[in-house]
Amino acid sequence: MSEQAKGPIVELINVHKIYPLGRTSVTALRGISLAIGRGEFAAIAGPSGSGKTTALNLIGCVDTASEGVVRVDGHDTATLKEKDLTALRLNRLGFIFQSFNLVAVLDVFQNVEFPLLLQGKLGRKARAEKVSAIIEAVGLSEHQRHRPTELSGGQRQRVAIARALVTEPALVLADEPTANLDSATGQRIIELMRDLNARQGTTFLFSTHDPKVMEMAGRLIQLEDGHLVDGAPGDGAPGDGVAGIGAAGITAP
Amino acid sequence: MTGLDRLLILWRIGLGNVRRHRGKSLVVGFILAFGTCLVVVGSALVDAVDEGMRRSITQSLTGHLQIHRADAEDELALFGDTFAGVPNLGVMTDFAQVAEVARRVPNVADVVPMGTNVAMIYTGNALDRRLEELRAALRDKDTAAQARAATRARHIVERMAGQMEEMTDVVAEDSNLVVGAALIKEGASDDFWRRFDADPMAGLEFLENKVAPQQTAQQMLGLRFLGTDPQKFAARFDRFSVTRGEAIPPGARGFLFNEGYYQRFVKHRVARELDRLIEGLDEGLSIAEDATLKAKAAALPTQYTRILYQLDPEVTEPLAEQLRAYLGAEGDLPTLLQALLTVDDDTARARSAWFYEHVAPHIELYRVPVGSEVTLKTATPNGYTRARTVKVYGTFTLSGLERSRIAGVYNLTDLVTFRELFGMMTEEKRAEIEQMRAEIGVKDVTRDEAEEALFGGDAALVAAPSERPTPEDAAGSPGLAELELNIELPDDAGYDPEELTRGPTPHAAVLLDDPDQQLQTALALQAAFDEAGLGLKVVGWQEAAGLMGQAVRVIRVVLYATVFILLLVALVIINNSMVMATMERIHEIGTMRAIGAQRRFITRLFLVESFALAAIAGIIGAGLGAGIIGWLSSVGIPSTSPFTDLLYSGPALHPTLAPGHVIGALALVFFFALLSTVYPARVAARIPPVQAMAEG
Repeated sequence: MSEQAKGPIVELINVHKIYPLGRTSVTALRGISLAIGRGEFAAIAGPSGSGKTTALNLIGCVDTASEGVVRVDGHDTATLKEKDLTALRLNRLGFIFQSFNLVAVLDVFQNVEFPLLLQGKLGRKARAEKVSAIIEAVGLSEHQRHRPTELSGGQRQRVAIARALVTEPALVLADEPTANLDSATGQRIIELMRDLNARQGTTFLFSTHDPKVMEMAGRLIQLEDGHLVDGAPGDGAPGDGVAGIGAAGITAP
Repeated sequence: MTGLDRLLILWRIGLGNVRRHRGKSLVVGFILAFGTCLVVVGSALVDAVDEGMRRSITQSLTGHLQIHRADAEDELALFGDTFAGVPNLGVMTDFAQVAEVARRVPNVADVVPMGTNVAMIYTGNALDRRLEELRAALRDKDTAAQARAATRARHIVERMAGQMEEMTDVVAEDSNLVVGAALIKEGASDDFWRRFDADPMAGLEFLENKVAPQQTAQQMLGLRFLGTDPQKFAARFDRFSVTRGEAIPPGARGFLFNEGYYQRFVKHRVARELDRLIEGLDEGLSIAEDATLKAKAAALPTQYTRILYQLDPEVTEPLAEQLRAYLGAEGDLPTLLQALLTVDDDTARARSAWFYEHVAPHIELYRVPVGSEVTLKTATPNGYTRARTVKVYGTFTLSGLERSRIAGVYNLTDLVTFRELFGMMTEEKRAEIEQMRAEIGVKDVTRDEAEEALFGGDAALVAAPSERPTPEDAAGSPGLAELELNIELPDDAGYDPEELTRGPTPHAAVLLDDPDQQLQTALALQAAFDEAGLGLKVVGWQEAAGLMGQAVRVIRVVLYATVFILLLVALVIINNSMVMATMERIHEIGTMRAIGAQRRFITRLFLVESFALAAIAGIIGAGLGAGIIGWLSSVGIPSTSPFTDLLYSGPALHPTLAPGHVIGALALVFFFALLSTVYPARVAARIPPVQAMAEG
């Protein structure tokens, strides 16, 4: 995070996304521009089909824009090869999914350890310390050796959060992280994320359509029918827009 | 360090998935385990059969290698087609030289000269043999023996006359029989025997020339024989063992019957027929239901004269008494013998046992008894016949091949006798020719052309060389005896044993110290012969054995074809189930890709999964296979036919497990398991990370 600390972590400039669908096509994003600063705790909101997931996919480097520029941690994703995009995801991004997406055959500890093993940077001992610390941070120390199937939904999402954070990513993306949880649990998950954002300065960007969750976001980006609706100044004017968001975005909860 | 870490996670997930997708793992695992087991068991069995066959063939007849002339017209086929006669291999003129060159090659343990040929033997009838005794007694002027033999001969002629009386109706129909009946009647008359006492020689002539031919139980038998160095053969071929009598002594001319041949062709007809009935019953057939057995049983009582004529006068009444008591019947001996031989499913075994216990001791159970002499008649390559009378020292068997009709056909004689019968020049004959040449000054003859020079030469004078007679068409055919220009050789005793180490031989067996080095030694041997300019060819036992040698190769090909097809099926099934499993796991794979796993990682994950499955299934399968082989090894697979006797080299096959069987099977299974994963792994690696976001 340190060497890239200058610019925004995410920058979208006039991004369009069109999905071909048979002979016709579906336009998911219609020229959106926005920037997310380091350390933000931002939510993307909007009704179903408004383009939330598409935007997250583009920012998460698992999909590419049809038009416009997507810059993540300083890299223009359109110029990166598949292999480099994967490396970027592994080293700079963390993912939290709506349906938790844990590896079923691995226990809690092993799931959290997984990205570290993929990175192959740390030795066994350092890895174990790091994994234990993050598991403790999400409050699952008691459940290290449990399989995902032995955990509740909330617990599973905590594991997912630990897995996303263990590599100390520059940005954590969460796609509707509370959609499969009851509201109380969902609230606690968002609180955990906000807490980690506050303590560790990790940037969070999550999508949601739950008004209660939106309220907890430091910044709300509203999408509707592929357009930015609110809280997104600088639409069409990247330069000042980015600056504006950068200043306005860093808000303590 | 990091490579190991990645391997660790691959194993964790791979093994985890093997456990998680139990259905798929079980199906694929079962196929892989079954395949491994099949390869282990199959290859161990094929190897055991291969080894058994090698022992059967190499240690009974062929040796590990065979040598013959490079310009041989035919291929050597010791176990080849029995009906093809004798292959023309030409003759290696100097065995001493061949053996000397061969012995210098490393790994050669010994060289044994050999040749095969077919011969006819003539077995006289009971009267003939009595008359032989009579002639011997007359020659020796042994009056006691003469009287005994004359009484026996008269007894037989009287029996024959009695027989003719009963058949008057039939006899009247056939003019030949009328003449025959008159001759028999005369031979049985008191008048004749009075004249016999006055002039035994004239009487003997009459009996030999006029009466004996009326008895039809005489026969020509065809046989196949091997001429070799009897001492060396017995020492080097460990399957060989003498079953009756003794081995041919060093330096003696002699003959050993193959036990199987002896039983099938030389044994008394009635005993043989009884044996076959019992064999049939042992195979689970029934006289009442099986047409062949039924016909045999029905024909058996008509063979009673074959017993009757052989019985000496002093045993007829006691035997008749015994039969009356045993059968609880009345009547004379012919009636009783017919009753004894009238058997069904219930009585056959007991009657056979009774026959062997009470009747067999009084008759000639074998037409050519051990210790007697037999005259072998052969046709030389030029179409002439040769004959030699040799002593039958005994019988032998080649263990493992006892029942094999293909391998059990060879009888055995010494190489010197073989050479004479083959029309080769022997040292004895050469000396004779030298003498003749000295006396009448004939042109030079080389030793292998001697016969040609003496009897052949002008092709126009010689009938086209006759086809070599085969045992089958010769049996019972008197034709050859009439056509032949009979060259009876003197029946002298012995030869210099050194003659076996030199002189001509059609081919020779090479025995090796280490049979596994067969190919290398064959090449070295061939090179040595080529260098010496001997014009010889070295062939392995597989080729030398003819058709039999190919059998194991065929079995091996069939086994591997089966395994290959099975594994191909496994390939398709594994492929399909893996692709299906991939579809189920799109979400999880997408997640891994999203959080930073490269495509390569996914590919490896699949390969590791298959590898783990193959390892587990392979070990179970190999263990199972090893267990089966271990069990078979201790129990043995019983041989069920003469052919399996040959394959198993004994009454049962005891396969043994070698590390190669397990390693080979595991290697094969791993290869197929991984091969079948390549495609699904590629499919999986192409799953886009976006799939992680989908509802799952």
